[in-house]
Amino acid sequence: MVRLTKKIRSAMALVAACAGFGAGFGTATGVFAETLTNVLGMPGFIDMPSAGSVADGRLGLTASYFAGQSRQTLTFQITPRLTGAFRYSILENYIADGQTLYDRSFDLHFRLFDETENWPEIAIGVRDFIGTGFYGSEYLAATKSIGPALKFTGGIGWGRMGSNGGFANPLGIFGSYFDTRPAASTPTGGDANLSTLFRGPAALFAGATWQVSDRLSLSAEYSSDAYVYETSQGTFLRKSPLNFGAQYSPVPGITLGTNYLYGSEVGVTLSFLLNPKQPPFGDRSTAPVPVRPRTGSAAGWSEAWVTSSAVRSQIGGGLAQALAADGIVLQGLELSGSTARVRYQNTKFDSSPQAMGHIARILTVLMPPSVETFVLEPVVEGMTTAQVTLQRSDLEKLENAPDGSWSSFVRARIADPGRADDFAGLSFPAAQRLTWGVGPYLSTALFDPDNPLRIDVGAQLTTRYDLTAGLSITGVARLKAFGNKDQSTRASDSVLPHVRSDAYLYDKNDGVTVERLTLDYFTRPGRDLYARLSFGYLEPMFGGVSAELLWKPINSRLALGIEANHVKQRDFDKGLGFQDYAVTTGHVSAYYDFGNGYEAQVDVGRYLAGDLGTTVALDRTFGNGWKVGAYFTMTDVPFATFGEGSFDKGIHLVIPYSWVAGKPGQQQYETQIQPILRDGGARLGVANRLYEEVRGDHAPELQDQWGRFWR
Amino acid sequence: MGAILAMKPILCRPFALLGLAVLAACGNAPDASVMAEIGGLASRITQPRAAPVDAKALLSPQVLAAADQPVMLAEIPARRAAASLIVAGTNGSHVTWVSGDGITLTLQSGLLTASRGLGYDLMSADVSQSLQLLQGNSGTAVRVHRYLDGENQITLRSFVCTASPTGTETVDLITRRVSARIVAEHCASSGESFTNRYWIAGSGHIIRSEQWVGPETGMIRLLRVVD
Repeated sequence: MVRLTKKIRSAMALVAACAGFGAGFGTATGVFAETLTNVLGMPGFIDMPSAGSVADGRLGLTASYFAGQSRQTLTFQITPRLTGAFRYSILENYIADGQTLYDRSFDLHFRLFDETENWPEIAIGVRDFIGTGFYGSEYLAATKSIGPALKFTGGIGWGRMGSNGGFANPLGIFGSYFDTRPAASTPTGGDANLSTLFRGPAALFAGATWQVSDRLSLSAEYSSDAYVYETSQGTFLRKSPLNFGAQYSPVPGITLGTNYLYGSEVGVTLSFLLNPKQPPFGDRSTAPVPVRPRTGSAAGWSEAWVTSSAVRSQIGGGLAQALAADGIVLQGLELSGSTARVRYQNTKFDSSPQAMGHIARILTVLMPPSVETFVLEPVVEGMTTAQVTLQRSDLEKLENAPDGSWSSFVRARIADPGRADDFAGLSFPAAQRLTWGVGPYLSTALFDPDNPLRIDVGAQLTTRYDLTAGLSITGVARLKAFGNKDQSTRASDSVLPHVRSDAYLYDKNDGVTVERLTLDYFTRPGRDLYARLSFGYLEPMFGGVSAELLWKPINSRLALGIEANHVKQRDFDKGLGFQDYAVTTGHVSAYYDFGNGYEAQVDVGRYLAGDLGTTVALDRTFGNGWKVGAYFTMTDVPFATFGEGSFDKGIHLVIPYSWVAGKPGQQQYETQIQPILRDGGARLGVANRLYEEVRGDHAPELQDQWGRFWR
Repeated sequence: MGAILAMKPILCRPFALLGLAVLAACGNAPDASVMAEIGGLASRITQPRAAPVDAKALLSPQVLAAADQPVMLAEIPARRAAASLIVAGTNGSHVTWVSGDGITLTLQSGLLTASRGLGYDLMSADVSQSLQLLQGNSGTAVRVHRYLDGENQITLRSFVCTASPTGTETVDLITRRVSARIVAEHCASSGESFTNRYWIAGSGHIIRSEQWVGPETGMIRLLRVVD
């Protein structure tokens, strides 16, 4: 019998909330063109793993339920061979006195060898290698397909997967170290259980699957997991090691599964899959203005017009209007007989080369024929971030050239204009200094044992007033419409200053809350350098002053930064008041873009609770703005002092709105999923750190996105 | 000095958030429209499929007779969409046509070399060998199409094509009828194949064609109604 309690329902709501979002995504060729995933969201048939990998970059959210165990798993195909997962499990009646166990775990799965005509694919994996170790297992699996519709898996498992019919560890030939398996390591959980991997008895598992049609598959398994703890607690009766299951995909991107497990239990599974590499709607943005080639010969193109200020003014006015229609704000135009230097702010395109392509084409229409060189200088927060020089004759030749994209990139000159205070042309003061927007917001609080998913929905007002170039005031206020985040009563037992663990107290205010109200100043001290100064209510929990300096040469994959903040903790009502706690924090950071979509960031410094340590973050980025990454922070706070979770870690997700809408736009949804929110390793939240502001106009990113230049 | 930019109108559009409530996204910030766009998608998905549009009904003979510039009719059967296009610009041997809703098609001597705004656009196409094939040369031509993938990278699709005449037909160009010979260009690659058809008038111009844009869009039908 499947009984869904209130807690399970709300946990599965986390997955079901994607219903409107997930439908219509996924590959057009059907989900079973890819590897099947099991109840744990990883490659596998039902409960056991298989050796495959799913499509590179694919993100999946799987919820499964059986015998009082509800498991919600977020999986990501990190590289074509490496799959990672974060799981939140709710296990009812799993602790002796009938309490529910809430478990967070991480898995990794690596495909070692590909399938060939005669040999199976082979993979190695670790389950719950970071966590309490409740699901801790390791495995080696081999999968072979026979014909187009059948697959067979066999493998050997250790730990929990070595409990059914276990035998002495074959790895024991390497030493007695492998013969025994100690209990899961850290009392506070959250740490990597590296000392238990591949140790202890091993057992065999097997499985078979038959892909009946494009949408339906049937599977059977022999499981090596004896569910020792669950059967001893009496939570379910394990009558047989055999599992049977069916998976059905009504639309690409959604999979429903039902299983008959261990001879006694019926389970259900729901999966949502999407691949950031496959936007649901393609790019439906309207076409750019076509290039207008010049007529006549160069000899006939006089430069006499440049002496007339009326003509220059007229050209400038026309250009400002034409660019505004395309979401580009013209800030400056410097004209000489042969060169046009355009300083602009891109407010529409999330791809900087696309903005440049549009501007370049408009220039071919509006500039007199003697102007041969176009110099484009994008401006972000009053800072000129790049200088891209294009030749008009290249644009005329390459607009329709088959390899126009690559050719236009190699002919473009990208340089850093440095302080860029030598601009001597027309300037165009912004017509509107005040920009504002009202829209909905959705905020979540996850993993509270009392209610694993809490959601608040309401209206958010964002206003920004530009005082001068580089100096602005920004405010974000929220008014809750409805939600249950204020129902949290779980007090923090942290022995550190409560810099983050009192987060639930900040959700109690029903009125207007000030999320952010800051005065920001940006400037370029010199070549390769960018600087920021922020003052005010920097984030919902802290306010004060923040200063940052970034060194990032325009062609470099490496950037270095230094940041220093002095902040005070804000009142719980998120109004204008402060509490007593004040702290000076700061970091030295290194950013590295590996190219091909992988980036790393290392920060060393002092965190909000006064602890010293290092954060390491690794992100997979996609050419369309998607980002999926993970980070962890190790500080001088001992695991026992940190409390449950041992150290801060989390998953970072950025979803660009333009991917969803199919039209260009700069807004994005950014979230961090932290298995546990405690006070060690907590960094100040600053909305406009320099690296993300300037990198879009620098050479590595321009090259990556240059495919959009002619779009 | 400098232009006064027109004040951006405040855009307020209602849209549903996860089906829970109807909230308005307003503001003069440029991003307000992206949010509204996303909200509009929900209604777009649930809209009933439009009835097929009769392309030729878009233009009446009177309108065409008075037209003083070239007009082309385009129809995408897979989407049940049609539009009339006029010339937006010419660059060398490439002519770019634009429709009322901002979609452009670029043709080189009547062969499609680029589209913008269709979604999954043809970014560029090397059709120089196909053009030679159509001029009566026998043999095969290599066609290279370029598209943007989901990560904004240019991807190539190349095809090997052969051409063969398949008869003659009188083409109805609304205001007149012109006889044309039909040439079929059959192109294949390891994964895909398609057949383009061209109706070539006595003057050598392609007055009607059916050309393949890409796997997602399929075929597009073009008709040079007014020259």
